[in-house]
Amino acid sequence: MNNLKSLLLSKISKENLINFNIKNIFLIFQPDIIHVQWASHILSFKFLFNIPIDIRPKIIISLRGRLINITPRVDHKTAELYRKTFPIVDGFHAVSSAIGFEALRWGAEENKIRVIYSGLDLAKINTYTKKCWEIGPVAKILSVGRFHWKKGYHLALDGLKMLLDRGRAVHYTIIAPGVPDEVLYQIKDQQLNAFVEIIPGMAQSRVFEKMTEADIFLLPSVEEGIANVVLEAMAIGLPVVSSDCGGMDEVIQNNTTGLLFNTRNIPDMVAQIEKMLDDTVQGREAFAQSARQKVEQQHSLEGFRADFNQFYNSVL
Amino acid sequence: MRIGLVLNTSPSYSETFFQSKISGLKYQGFDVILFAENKASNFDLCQVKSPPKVSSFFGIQFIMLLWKFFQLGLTAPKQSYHFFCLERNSGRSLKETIKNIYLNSHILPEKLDWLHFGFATTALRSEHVAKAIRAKMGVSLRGYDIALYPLKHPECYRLLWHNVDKVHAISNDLLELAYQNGLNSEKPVKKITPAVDVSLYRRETPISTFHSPLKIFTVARLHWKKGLEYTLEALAILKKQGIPFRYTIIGAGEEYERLAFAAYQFGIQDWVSFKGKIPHDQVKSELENADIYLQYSIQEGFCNAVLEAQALGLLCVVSNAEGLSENIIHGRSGWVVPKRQPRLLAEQIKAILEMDEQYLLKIRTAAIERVRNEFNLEKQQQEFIKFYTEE
Repeated sequence: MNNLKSLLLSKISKENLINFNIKNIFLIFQPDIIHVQWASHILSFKFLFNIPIDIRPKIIISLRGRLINITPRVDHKTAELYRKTFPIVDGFHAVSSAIGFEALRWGAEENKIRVIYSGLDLAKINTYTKKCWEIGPVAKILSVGRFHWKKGYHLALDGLKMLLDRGRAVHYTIIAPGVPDEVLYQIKDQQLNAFVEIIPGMAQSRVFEKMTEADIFLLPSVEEGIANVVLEAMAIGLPVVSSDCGGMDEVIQNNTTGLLFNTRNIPDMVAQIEKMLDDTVQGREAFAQSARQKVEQQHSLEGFRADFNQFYNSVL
Repeated sequence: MRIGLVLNTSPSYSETFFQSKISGLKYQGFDVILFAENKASNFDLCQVKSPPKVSSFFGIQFIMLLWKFFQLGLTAPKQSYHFFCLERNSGRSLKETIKNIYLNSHILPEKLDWLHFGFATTALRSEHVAKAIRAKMGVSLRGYDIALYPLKHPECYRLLWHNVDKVHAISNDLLELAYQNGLNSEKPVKKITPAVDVSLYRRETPISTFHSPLKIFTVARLHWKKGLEYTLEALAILKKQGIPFRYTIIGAGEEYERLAFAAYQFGIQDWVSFKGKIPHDQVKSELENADIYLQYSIQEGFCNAVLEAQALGLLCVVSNAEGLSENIIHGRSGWVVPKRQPRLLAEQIKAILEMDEQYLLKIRTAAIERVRNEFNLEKQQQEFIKFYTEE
């Protein structure tokens, strides 16, 4: 009733309605833990911080990508929100060690942060295994992921141009829906039409098939937690060349499970792609095998579930 | 002579191009009427007519459609019928034709000598209006509409190219793009560049030697086409080479987060300031403090901001994107650097810092004189009069 009363007394706005709904859900279900998946949504749970700590549910926040690595760095309001609320949060789930470390800056306590790497359904992927690492006359480079500036496709296209200028025979495929003007213009501007294919989205099984057919997976991102799509490529056996942004170096051990280049550094990106292309067939196969082992050991679905259960129990 | 100008919005005070065009034509005795969907309350340069509203409720829209058709039957029956025939003969469906009659019902009753579309995109769905009302059709090619819009809409200008009588382009490169997009090379064209009010853009403070740290400015919307990420990368190279600077970007836009994060990743976050949008007159006083002005765009129609910077005697470094390489004459009124190559941009800035002061003064003076002589409003107005009067 109090909740309804406060809604009626407050201004009608989307934010107030959301708060009303969240409070209702809280009152009806009385959860032991509230797990906030996106850090900025903590704003909707601010009311919980006024309840005495021994009777309120525990609050857990997931630390993921942009909302931790980018937004608070460039938006003072978000930074202020995190600084106020993070010290009161009971537990943090970090998708990578790097992002956990980043959260310290915004007031998260180190002993409350648990790194839980995402789990991959390897059984689903097992039917798509790359079996041949020989490169044909034109090397096939593949990227998968939505079009967003943080995915760095503009950098990948600059890299492709440099590879072509250096006389490399390469073809680049991007699987992502909703190609923006920026990418289309760059392809035209740099005369890359014949060397780039954009597939506006396909079923996941077809994406996996494409991964078995490609020669290199390229992750040109400027920011990531740990890109799931890289885990998939690694599980399938497609050699990965990735930027060293975010937590990527926790899965790509340079020269073992893949190759890393300095984020935003196009000559370095090109050098690493060339290194992979110039490696022997056995060399690329070795990359694929180490990558597969890494994913099995660090990103199994079973491990992920067990870690989460253990984490929830530890918070209670 | 009566000229109808079609725009999306009535031009704001800072949009010198259309403001000056309209007042220039009126001064020469032309009658100008503006067709625009949105009209600013303080716009009073000429009469404005707006297209009818479109309702998302079918019933309401149907009644509005009948009412408009009834009105057209009284005010412009011949023109409407002529328009209908032209649309149908061009292969437009009956539904599309009816829609287009409705959308153009504010222009069809007008008696005009010229119907001029301020952007190519404003002519879409109106390609037959000029012919239907027995006016000549003009179109301006300005940047986005010719360099970007056709990327996702190939063939979108087929009917426009077929029907237009004269094309106005703000730069040679944009005209070249129009030819690539299907404009017939035999159609009459005229290049009329943007212009600045040189009486307003006059330096009021004396030129000083380079500040330390160096003051670098750009006026631009925070949009990918302005090439600000490449600019930041070039400035990061300068920092690595031990050249201290303060970089100010004047302008707002949707890509603030992208650019602020790029500045952070390049390690120059504390050396870059995003001023946001500030009033036009304040821009001028800010710019007077600049040592170097950068416009390292990826795509650019012509760029008024660079003309304004030159008029203030600033040392300008621009990319070779479309109109920019006509805006600045490399080595004479500034410097043109190939786009998307931050290393070259950094080298150019470094080279300027090592140039002789007398030489730099020559560049500044050449820039001021060139803008005064070639990009002044009076010249632009005369060119527009010729556009409509010359065969």
